[in-house]
Amino acid sequence: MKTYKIIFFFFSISLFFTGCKEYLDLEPNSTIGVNDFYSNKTEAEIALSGIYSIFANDAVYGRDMSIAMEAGTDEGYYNRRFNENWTVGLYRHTSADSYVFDLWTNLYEAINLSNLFNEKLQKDAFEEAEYNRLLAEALFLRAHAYALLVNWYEEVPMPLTSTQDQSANNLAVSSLEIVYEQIIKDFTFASEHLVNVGDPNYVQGRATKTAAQGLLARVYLKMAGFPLNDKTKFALAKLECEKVINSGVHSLNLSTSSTITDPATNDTRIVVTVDGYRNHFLNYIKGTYDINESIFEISFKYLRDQGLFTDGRIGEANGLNFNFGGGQPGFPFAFAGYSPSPLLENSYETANDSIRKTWNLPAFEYRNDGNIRRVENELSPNFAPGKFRRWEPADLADLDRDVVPGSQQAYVILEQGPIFKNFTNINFPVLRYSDVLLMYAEADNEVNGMPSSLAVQYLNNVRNRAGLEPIGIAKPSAIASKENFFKEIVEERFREFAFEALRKHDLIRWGLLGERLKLLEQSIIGHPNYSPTNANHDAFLKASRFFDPSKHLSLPYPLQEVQLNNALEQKPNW
Amino acid sequence: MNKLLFFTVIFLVFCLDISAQKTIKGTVKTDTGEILPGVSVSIKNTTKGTSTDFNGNFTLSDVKNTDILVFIYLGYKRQEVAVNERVNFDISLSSTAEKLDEIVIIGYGSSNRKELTSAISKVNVEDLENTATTNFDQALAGRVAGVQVSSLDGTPGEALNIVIRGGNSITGDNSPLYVIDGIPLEDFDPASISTDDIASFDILKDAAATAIYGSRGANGIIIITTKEGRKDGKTDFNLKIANSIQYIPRELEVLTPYQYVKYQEASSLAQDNYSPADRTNGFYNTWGDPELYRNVEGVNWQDEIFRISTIDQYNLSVSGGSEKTSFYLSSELLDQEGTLINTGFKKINNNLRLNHQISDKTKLRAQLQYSYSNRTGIRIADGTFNRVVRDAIIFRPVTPINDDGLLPGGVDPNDANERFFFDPVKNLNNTDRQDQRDLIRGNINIIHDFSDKLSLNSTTNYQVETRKQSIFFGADTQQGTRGQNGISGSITQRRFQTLSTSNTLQYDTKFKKHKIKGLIGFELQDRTETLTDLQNSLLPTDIFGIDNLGIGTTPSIPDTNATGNRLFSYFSRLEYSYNYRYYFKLIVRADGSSKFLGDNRWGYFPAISSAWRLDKEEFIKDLGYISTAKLRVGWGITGNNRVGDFASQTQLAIGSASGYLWGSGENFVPGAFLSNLGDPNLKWETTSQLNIGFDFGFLRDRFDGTIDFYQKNTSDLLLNADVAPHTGFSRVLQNVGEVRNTGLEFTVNSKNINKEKFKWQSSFNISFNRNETIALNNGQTEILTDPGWQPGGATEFQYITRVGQPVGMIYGLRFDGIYQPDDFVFTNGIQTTTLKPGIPDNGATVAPGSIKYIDQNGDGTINEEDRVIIGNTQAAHFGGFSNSFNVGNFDAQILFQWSAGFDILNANRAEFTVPGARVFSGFPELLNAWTPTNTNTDVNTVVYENIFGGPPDGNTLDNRYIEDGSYLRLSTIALGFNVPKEKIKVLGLKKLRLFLQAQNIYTWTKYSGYNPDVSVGRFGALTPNLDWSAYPQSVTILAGVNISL
Repeated sequence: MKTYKIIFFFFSISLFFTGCKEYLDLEPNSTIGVNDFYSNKTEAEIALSGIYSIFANDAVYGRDMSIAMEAGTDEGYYNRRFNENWTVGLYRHTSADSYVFDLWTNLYEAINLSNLFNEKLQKDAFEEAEYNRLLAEALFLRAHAYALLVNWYEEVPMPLTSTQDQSANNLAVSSLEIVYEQIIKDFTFASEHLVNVGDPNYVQGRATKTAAQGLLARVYLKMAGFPLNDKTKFALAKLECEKVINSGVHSLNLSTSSTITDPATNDTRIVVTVDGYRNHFLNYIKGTYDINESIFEISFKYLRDQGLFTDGRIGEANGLNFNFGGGQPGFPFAFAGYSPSPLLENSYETANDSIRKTWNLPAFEYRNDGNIRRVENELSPNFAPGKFRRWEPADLADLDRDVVPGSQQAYVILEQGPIFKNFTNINFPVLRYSDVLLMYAEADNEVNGMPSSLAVQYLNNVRNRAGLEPIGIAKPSAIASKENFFKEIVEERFREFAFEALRKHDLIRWGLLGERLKLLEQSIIGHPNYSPTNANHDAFLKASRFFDPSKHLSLPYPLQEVQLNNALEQKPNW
Repeated sequence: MNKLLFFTVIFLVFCLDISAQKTIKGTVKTDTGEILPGVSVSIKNTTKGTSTDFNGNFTLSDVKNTDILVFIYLGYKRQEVAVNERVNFDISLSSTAEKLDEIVIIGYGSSNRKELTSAISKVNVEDLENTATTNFDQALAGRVAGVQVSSLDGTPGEALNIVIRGGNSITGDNSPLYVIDGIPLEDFDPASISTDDIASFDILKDAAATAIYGSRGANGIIIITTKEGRKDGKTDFNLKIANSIQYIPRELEVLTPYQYVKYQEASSLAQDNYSPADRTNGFYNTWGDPELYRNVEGVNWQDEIFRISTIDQYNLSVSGGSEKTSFYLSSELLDQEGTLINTGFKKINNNLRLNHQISDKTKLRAQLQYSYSNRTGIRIADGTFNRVVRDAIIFRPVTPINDDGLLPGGVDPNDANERFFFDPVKNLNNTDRQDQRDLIRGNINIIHDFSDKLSLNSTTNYQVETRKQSIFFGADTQQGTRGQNGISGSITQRRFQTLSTSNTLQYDTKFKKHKIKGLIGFELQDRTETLTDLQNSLLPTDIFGIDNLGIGTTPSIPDTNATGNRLFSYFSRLEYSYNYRYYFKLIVRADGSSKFLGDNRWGYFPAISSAWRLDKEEFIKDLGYISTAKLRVGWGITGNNRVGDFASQTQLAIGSASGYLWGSGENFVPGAFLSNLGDPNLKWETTSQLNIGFDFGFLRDRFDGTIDFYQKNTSDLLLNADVAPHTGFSRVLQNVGEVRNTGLEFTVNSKNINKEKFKWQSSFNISFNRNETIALNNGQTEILTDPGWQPGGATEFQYITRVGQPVGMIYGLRFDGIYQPDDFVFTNGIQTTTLKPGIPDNGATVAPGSIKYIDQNGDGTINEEDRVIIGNTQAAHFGGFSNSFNVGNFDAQILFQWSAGFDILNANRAEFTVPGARVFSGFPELLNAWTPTNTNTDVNTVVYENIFGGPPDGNTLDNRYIEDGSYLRLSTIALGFNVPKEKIKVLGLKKLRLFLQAQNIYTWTKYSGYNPDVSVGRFGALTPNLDWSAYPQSVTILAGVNISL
């Protein structure tokens, strides 16, 4: 009997401890459940910042998508002969490639966070306009992520709700039409509810109405080209561009120039006194928003010293060679892994385009002996793009002088903020006003079968800023037919947007990538400095050599996706 | 008291003749036949009684036939005997202080070894003590069948990797649960107790044994009990002083100065494409004639960073007390220098144990332990870029006669690509890293016997541990000189707190031939963990070290974190045996954990086992020579709950890892991201295990042994599983996949010679384990892993876990020789770098002298699709063979330990045998590089026809670098001499023992690295047996003295 009492007592004690069922209910202290968030403006902003942040990752605009994966067009190539690190730019990737995986994973992470935002943003906690504005921003980012995904991978799975569990693994790809339909829907919602530059609610650096319209125009142009080839979309592209242009909130960062007549020869030439092209890009480099011309950009800032990872690689991986200082803090190191192609230089020269050539292909470097040197040889690995330069010579005359032994030639750091070796403060443009102008010109030409005067005018606006004469004067044939005008657009976009991560997808939608890569190969082999036994030169040919049009117009699905998504099949050839 | 006794006796004498009563007498002895004086003899329910005299005799008068005699003596079991007609009583009392070598601790109780129904191994604690080791786990390898003990590398004081019966988990933790003095502890650090304080050490291997620990039992359990004080009124002082020296047994063979210069000469010529030009001229201008260096001694960088080091060790213990109250107090101080300069390990352990008999039914046991440890010096297995051992191997051994402007070792100060190479001596000397742990553990245990059948055992434990990890990079370190943070330091402090209680009721009864033992209990555990992290960089000076970080100018954002979990459990065990022949055991445990939600919160873990003692059967007894024969069968389910505290909840995190800039000044806005996709259905990893064992003994157990066969199926793996990345996640922790381990263990012990003056015992064990991945996530067939030891470069999957294969196999390309001129096309008599049709490239442009691989899929190039399994990381068998001798006052122990039939990924060779254009040195293979005249070789050329011969990034690992790691090690030799008692009596000593011990003495292996017992891969079971710039294991030789007074 006594025994039973003891056992009873014993269990009473144990029940006392757990009498409260909550004993095992613990909530995390340092993180928060998804249902407890999105309930006020601060939380919504933190959530949006988290989505933006993904676009600034190394895998997206931070480095890979904006630089390494964009190599391997007529713009330029990865120039290292020792390795093939920029696999996608060399067309040497497989489905297990980390670029293929990382871009996919990051964009879908942004999509999932946008989906979650869409589901969880508490409607009754906000005024309607504010609620819609916040939602529009999340949907803008989702649409952009999907637009990038279809650009790179074509048909993709399209989750529109946040991932709950494992059952989400198996999701078939959606057809291009369906994905585009959703992108259009999201951008349209965004363009209806976002504010424009100048609105009291506008915050610099964040998505705007015109950004949504402009990126939608880009999507329509893509739909009009390869692989959908839906020509009806040109009109819609034109319409969206019109909306941006007519909004009146954007303009080019203009150049001022005067025409000078040489009294001796009576030749006239244009002398640019204020270089708007340069000034515009200095804004990205210095991290100041050029809100007139820059419609949407990705912001980077070096805050690693505070333990924050908001920096990028712009200007380092695609920068002007700077090898002085051994990579120490304070020295604007750039490793120049990316070389511009002779084709680009030819294009500038043919068009007498010195403003943009000077900016994009300055052809100088800072050597580790303290000497600023010209890079005369386009086939040197040190021939590098200057668009996102971290530094410049203080005195251009140093280009032609040798350094005095024991001293160093002076340079100016253009970038603002702490200067560290591999990480930069330079912003990256996603959509510029000149792009909207040229997209209008391109769409208009297709819609009308001939460039309208407005199309010519917009092209001229872009040319004018670059210090070039109107196209009708410089090259009358270019506006004589639809085909010629299209060719001019191809060249103009080449010169205007070099190294802005637009070229590869322009060429793909135009169906020109293979052709232009052949031209690239010829331009290298035909270059006077080319030597077949030079291993560097041989390496420059890799992109054109390995390009296979049956495989390389889009990326394979990442191996991990194929392995775990039972509803998805790898593309043929992969 | 004596008066009372006196009066009682007088009273009894007076009463003598009053009724029909008799006088009885008798003797009380122990069950081993020793006389017991002072035993209380009384008549139940009366005050009548006496006690035994000096010879164990007693007399008691006035005893009725109906009386019951009660014999009570502390430390022995109470015994009641009915008087009836008897007048003479020969009583033998059995001890409650059970002899430890026969008693096995089984978790919430103990059992006699002969009565076990499950697979439990006992480690002889003296064997562990008598080794030249700093923590007990270092002495464990080879001692127990089925227990694989391996080092990550030779870092001083680092906990070893203990895997019992093969790893269950793929991405989870496979280490066993430790139960210290009855309390299950997570994160137990072997440094936190002194080996000398261990009283017993038992390893629970099969589910029938470990199911009593339910959701934490799947990886096996190590149960340690610590020593108690003496109970006989005497006091022991014990002092042990030991000093050791340590050294690394071998250095890796690198180029001698002359070889290095010849290598550079050849490399220069190759870079000039065999017609001397700039490079070659440059070489001769700098170095002059290579013959100048023929007898130059040069610098052996390995000698510079390694040293012969010492360990000082002091143990003091005091043990004493009485029957009623006893104590054990001990203190250990150990100070170890690492064999790598400026590394070391220090620990202080203080332990107080108090036992008090509150009444004859209630016992109190309390313990208070304080432990401090500090591991200092660079963690050389950390980080991809900074590797001191790598630098010691590749740094050139000699400098040229004409200065070439390079730093010592050949580092080019102006080449940004060489910024991670740094003078390893400076790096080591000026990096101050400390991992300090302070642990306080308090333990109160009350045992109350309600009767001789029913007892309560209640233990409450509080433990708090603070781990302060700090690292400071002085000016003269790689980070200080070339890193972005300059002179910098950081401190991370973690605090772990565990409060737990475990309470059991045990009922023990016998009737006729039936024996029943029942146990029920409950247990609670509450753990919390907090983290604080701070960091400052760009300090103007390093004179203050870590102690004044405030002078830095760029502090990083401080970080804090808090987390915790709770566990609540019920358990019960029922044991039944019949006639010492048939044994049955049933265990059920229910665990409720805060880590899991809803229906999965509670998990149930049953086990059933039985044994049949054949040796009790007549037909075996008749054979005579068989002394033990027992068949055991057991089956049970256990779990593994080692997941993040909130892994089952989807969580948003806000922190420095995510955030964006906007606004006119590009202001930072913290960003929210999904840190975890919670799987609400997450539950324990479940292991079901079948064990069939046979224990045998011959000739009164002069030879005895055990054979165990087991099959473990682990399903619902807590797998950090790959998921389809379109979900927004690349990995999610979930219960998927299955792993099977099947194995056989064999142990045999033999008392070869067992004479008074000469004893020789041998023990041998061998284990075979087969590990197989049965399933992964969602039809996934393989997990590819890049161990990430190569700095920069492309992703290269060097390990694979594939369904149908063991976990963590080495994955790479197959070497197919070196490209020769014949492989290329000749145009106009001139060889080009175009390959002949059908000959694949190696993933990059190739020329004669380049590395060639087998093109497995025949697509003409080499990429991921050409990788195959090239190495098996699972040992075919492992085991140990030990011998111990006692000759007079001398004793000796020798242990051999082996592991065989497994491969090592020798990343050192993959890196240091590949000729490159840099000035760095390496292994002697470099001398055998391909040249147009040295074509019969496996080593690529530096460069030929402007094409570099080395492997392209992402295609660097091939089967040349996979080596058989089989080894046999003379692991322990221990010699002891007990100075004869008569000689030390004059000194007033009880004992004086001198000893000489050596650990890790010699390893027989074909492996070319420092040591085959290495595994520095950072992804656990996915990347085993990786040797990359690891801390070599040391030989330790120890001399010491043990004094007792």
